[in-house]
Amino acid sequence: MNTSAAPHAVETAGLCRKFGSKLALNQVSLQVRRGRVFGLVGANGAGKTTLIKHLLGRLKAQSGSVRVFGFDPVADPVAVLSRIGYLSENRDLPGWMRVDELLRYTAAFYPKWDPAYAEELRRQFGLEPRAKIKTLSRGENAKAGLLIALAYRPELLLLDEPSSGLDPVVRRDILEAIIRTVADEGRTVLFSSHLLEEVERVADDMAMMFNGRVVLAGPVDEVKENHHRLVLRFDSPQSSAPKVPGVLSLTGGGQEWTAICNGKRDEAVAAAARAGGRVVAEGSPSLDEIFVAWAGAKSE
Amino acid sequence: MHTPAAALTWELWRRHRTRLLAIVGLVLGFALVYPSLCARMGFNPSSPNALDEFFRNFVARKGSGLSLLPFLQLLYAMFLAGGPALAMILTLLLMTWMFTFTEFDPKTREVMRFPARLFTLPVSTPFLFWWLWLGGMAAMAMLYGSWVYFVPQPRFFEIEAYQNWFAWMTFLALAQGLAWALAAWPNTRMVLLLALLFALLISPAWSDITRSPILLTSLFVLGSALARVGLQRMRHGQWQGWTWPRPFATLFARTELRGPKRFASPAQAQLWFEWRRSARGLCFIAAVLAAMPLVLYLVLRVVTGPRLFLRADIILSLAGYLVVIPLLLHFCFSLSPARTDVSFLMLRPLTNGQMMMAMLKTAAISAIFSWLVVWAALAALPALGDFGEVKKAAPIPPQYLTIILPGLILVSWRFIAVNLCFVWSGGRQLAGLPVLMMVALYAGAMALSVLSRNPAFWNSFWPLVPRLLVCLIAAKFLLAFLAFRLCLKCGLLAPSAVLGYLAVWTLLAAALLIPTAILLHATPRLVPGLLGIVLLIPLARIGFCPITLAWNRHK
Amino acid sequence: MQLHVSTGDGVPIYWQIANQVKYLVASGRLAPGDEIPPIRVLAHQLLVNPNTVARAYLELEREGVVHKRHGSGTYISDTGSPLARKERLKILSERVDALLAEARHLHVEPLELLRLIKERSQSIQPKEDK
Repeated sequence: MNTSAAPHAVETAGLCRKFGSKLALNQVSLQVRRGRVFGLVGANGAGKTTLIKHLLGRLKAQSGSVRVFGFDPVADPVAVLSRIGYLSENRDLPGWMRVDELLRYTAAFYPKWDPAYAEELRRQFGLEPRAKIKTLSRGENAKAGLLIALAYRPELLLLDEPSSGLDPVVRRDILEAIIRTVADEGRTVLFSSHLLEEVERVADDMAMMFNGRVVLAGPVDEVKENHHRLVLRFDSPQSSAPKVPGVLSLTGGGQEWTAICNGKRDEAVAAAARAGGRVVAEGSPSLDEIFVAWAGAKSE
Repeated sequence: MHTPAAALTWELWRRHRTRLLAIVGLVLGFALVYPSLCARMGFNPSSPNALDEFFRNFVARKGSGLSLLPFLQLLYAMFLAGGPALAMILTLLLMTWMFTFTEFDPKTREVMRFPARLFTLPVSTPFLFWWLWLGGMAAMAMLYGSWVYFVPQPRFFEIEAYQNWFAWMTFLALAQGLAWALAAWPNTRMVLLLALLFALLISPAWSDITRSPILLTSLFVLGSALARVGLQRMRHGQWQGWTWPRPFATLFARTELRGPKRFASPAQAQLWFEWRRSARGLCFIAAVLAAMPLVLYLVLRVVTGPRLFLRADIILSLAGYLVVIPLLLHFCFSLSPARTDVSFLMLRPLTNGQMMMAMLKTAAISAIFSWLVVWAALAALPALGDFGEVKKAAPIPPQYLTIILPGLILVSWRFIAVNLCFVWSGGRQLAGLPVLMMVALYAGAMALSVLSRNPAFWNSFWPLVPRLLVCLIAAKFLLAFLAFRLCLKCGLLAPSAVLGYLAVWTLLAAALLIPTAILLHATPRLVPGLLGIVLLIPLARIGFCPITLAWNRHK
Repeated sequence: MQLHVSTGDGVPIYWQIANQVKYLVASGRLAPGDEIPPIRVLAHQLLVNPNTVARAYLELEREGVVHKRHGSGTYISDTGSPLARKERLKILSERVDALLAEARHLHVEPLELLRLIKERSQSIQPKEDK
């Protein structure tokens, strides 16, 4: 049975992971639907890479379950890995291989490898076939990794901070690859990123993690519609951020403060009125602002 | 830490703390224990005839056929005769490495690099140089002095290493010079450093160099100057390495066997991977090392004329050198901990069994190939000089070669095969376990030979040996059974793979047991010999390999 | 068709696309009957999710700016929008409310606002019109 009948590409339930005394993942339950782009967002050390390692079978779930296309990555690594195209932020391609050797070697593992497509990608990325991988620059290394992840049209494209440290040209290539993958029927993309601008552009669904917990999950449009940015003007200058319950974060100074709230807009306005402030402007925050607001809220 | 010098000294201490303590421990250990060990054996190291006496006793007691007791005593005597010298040379080499201040670079993961962060500190290059140079000289002198004065030196033959403290200073200067001046040419540097090592330890020419103070002094000055200049150039990036296309690399790339256009299966691709990654390099190094003396001989012959006939002792040392090459290469390779390639491999849709098989197969290929090359070189030796000494030192009847040759291949392969389960467990310290095991075995043999001085003990012990071997073999089979059963239960290996391993194991065992039984059927050492062979062929640790690999892969 | 989307200013991307298409139609750079690129192509060009582009096209179709022709592509509608005049005015009145609120905040009188509207209307009108 080549493609499994599981409804979700990735499904984790109550996943927990401890490293020593540090709780890296805390009851993480996610569903990644097929055919959609899923963006995983979080601060450094929030647990994104740990989660992705669980999907690849590099870490064994201490409690809870992980299923990729219905398979357990630890019990059935071949079934899972042959459906995943993975690009990590550590470039761990063997430095002694040449690019053409890398292609030939990787092709042997994936029956759906398309040599014509691989060649087209290689030419598009501008990679010399006889160049040794250890002589490639950082961007070319990322492109080589992306090339062998794309060439067999995997059902799930898994990218762990793919754009870290790369120039805008390579970042465009990666975004194009993501879009091309999902535009083909039924293929899924899961990527973790700090660049929220990219997540806003290409992601259908997203999840935000802090300290190992998922604090937000859902379609990107919904997340953005649920958050509101209110500019509050207080009667008297405030020396420190006034306490307004229902608001995620409050930044500013003097009489005018910017509040970001999640969903409970009317309650926030009422609470602000009780604290002596009124709304003078309103808008939709960007994902970046939402993220920073949540980070501020979580650190308290 | 108030001064840069103090800070740098602290860094050196901190980085090599365990090694420095080990060196001190070794010196103290030898100083305190060695004299009593010699006394126990009736071995007087200060007597110039000690070794001759011992060999005479050894030959007299050996008789005909294989016998364990004199063999153990030979091991013990080897330790007594060579132990201090070997320890001294190793510690001095370690000290040299510490004062070249190179470290393992995590970025390239291969090359010994001088830490570039030192160059970003506000210290001048002359300061760095003088601190490392003076520190190194002082440390070498102190270490050499402690070895010479605290540990009794064997005087029965001249060990070059003891002759000349200034020779060791020169060695340090040259090592620093090569390490720093050739930092941009890592492969060339490695070759030259090995050649320097070879010259110091093995070649008879070293004694001629050390006897001539002019030559030694000029080498010392050359080394120091090279070190000073090299450090400066390294700091300012003035020497960049090969900037023109390297002729060998392009030639090699063009003529190398291309391999199949498409791999027929993942197993074949993995075999190619392991071959390219390591086995190809191993075979190449073995071929080069084996061919080097022959090439040198040809060159010398062209220079000096057709009458060149090498002395018996040179031929003997060449033979010894050739035999050691594959064993040492495979042993050193087996210790190398898993590198980044493993994290790349673990993400391929490859089963643990397939990874293991590919590694075992390529290890077998490299073992066979390197021994073939060495035997070809050995076969060419009689043409170079007086082969008589070799025949006398190792009087092996030709029919024993049918066991010894395959046995040596097996031993080389075995180094890699049994260490896989440690290397792939992901623990860097664990990969070095075989060294500890060898040291433990050697110490055990020595303890046994001390105990054997008591004839009553020996007579009651010797008949126990076959039974002991049987127990060990039973334990090995039990472990193997448990390991394979666990693999099958957890689905780490397919039943066909397990049967395959067992079939190969049986074939190997039979290939060695049958000739041994035929050849030794007359002697009473048959049973221990057969049991020893069965013990030697690895099974248990290969069974554990998929388990440790799975443990590392799915942490 | 050259569009430009930017993230981070709070306006949903599909809204930006729809608006820009409407602007292009209004300023004459897209004439009725012109074909606009398929969803995949535009997604590639702008580097946005195809679903976002699909949503923008859906919005445009709903408002009658474009129409699909037997699955062979999407084309700009004739200026006769199928929407009744009442509905069209209702859509616009919401925008007018927002504009009036903004003007009040900025202390701009409604008369001045009317003058501004006239000015802008003349500058973006295609040259063939009077």
